[in-house]
Amino acid sequence: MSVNRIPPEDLLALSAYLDGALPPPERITLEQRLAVEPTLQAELESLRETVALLKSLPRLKAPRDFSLTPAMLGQTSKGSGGGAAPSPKIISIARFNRWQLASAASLAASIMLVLIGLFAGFNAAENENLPSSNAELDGLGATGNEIGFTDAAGAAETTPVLSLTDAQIFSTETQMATSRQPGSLPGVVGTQNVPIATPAPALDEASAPVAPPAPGQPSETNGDTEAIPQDNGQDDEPAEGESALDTFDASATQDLQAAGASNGQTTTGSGNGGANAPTAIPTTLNYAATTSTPPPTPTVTPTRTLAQTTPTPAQEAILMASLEADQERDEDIEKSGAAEGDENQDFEVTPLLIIGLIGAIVSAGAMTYNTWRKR
Amino acid sequence: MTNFSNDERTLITAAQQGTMDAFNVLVVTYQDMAFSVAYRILQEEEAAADVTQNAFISAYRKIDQFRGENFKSWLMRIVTNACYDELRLRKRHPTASLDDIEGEGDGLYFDAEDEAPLMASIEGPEKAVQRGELQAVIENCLQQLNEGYRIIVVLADVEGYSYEEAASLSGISLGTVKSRLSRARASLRDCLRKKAELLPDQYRQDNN
Repeated sequence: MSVNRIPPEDLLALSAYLDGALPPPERITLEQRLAVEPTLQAELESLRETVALLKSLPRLKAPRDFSLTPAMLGQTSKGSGGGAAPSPKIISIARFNRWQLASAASLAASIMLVLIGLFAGFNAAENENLPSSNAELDGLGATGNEIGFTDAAGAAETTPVLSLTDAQIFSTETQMATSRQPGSLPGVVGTQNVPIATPAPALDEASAPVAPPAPGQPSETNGDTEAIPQDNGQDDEPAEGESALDTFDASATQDLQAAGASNGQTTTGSGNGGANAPTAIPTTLNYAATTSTPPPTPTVTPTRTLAQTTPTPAQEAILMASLEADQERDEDIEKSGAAEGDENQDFEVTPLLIIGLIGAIVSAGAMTYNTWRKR
Repeated sequence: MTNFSNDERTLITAAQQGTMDAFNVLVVTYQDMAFSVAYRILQEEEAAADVTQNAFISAYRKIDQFRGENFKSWLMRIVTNACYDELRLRKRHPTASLDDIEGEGDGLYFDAEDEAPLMASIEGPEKAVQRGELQAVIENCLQQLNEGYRIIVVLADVEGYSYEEAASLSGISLGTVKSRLSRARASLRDCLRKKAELLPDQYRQDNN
């Protein structure tokens, strides 16, 4: 008397037959078999009794009143099912806040970049030393240097070496973070672009990651920082980048030192175009010439936030934005083939300004998207 | 009771508008059924009570999603899902998915660790009368069934749902419902036969 006493298909047919769910052809066949197979008939009857017993089971009485109370809706009783709504709500609210917070933060940073860019643009008009610097760099294809010069105005050249110490340079590097990663070079020529490349992608992403990546970058930079003195930072760079670097070295060395000095003097992390220009220039130069020059001073951007060794998230964002700005400048220069740094204009639309605007748009878009998604 | 379906629709509409008292009338109407099903599926009174309460809370929260179909079936779907959740939590059996139980052979029928005393029932031994004993035996045999099969039997044979309704409530395909029902019935038949000698004469005579 086991479950497998009769073939499963027979069991299935009997069960369906009991429910009147057996189609006519099968039903007729089964009834014919039942008439001549006592075992099958006995099986059918035992199944019939079982079903009858099951149907006879009385409906149980609820052990208590399960009527709802307002308190219940705020929580569920022990066990599963029902609705554990409070937790999901809390989670969704937290998620909402986190994304909106990140979006708002990056939006604020972008607005600051716009302001900085505007300020830099006005300051750039005052600088007149670009031509010489540009001349030096033209042959090197270091368009980025031109940009740097533009921002820094002739400060880099005019200002004697600011005696940037290695410590300052290294601290700057920590802020630079990604910029040190050669592999992330965008298609821009010149080593100086290397530092910029890495931060740029991070910035281009949704505003949310701005804060998280930033803290991570300093650590990366630190690692690179150690490698910098060994002059191996650019081993992975594209060939043309390296060649540009090599070309750089000689002429850039002095500028680097000058830049280093100016870097050291940069105190605000706001990325002040004018004030940072000198440092910016050297930074790129430094980076480009990193292979030859011990002082790393990689990313241009760090210069701007040089004074601060531990940038705040907002400043990290600015830092990254600056890095991205440098990249943008390089790209723009390469495209136009003309130095945007030409201070022929009363107001220069610095790449920083462009980056700030782009960042603001992206941040606003991210905030809007997050808000829309929460609905 | 006059036009109950009309009254029920009025209650549902009121509940959808936030009148909890209207919903509680529905709770009182269906709580025995809900608890019955939950208990027979879970075979534990406390768990069944929790699942029943949670199911009603969930139903009230989702009352806006009720689109005018059969409220009893809609509610039963919530109860059954709550039972599934509870079963997965308890993980009384190795297979996390109840749908994987099919094909386990004898595992379908007897679960040695779950075998309860013959006279065990929710009513308690002292209340065992002939009918009570019979009910206890049936409940006991139900308890020994794997949950995946027990759910089908409870919905189809104990509660009287059709194949299609049982498939919809349990989320199991129609073919699997039919297959599992046939095997569950055979297993219960064997279990009842095994205990037949302890059953009242009436049953034994019918069985033999």
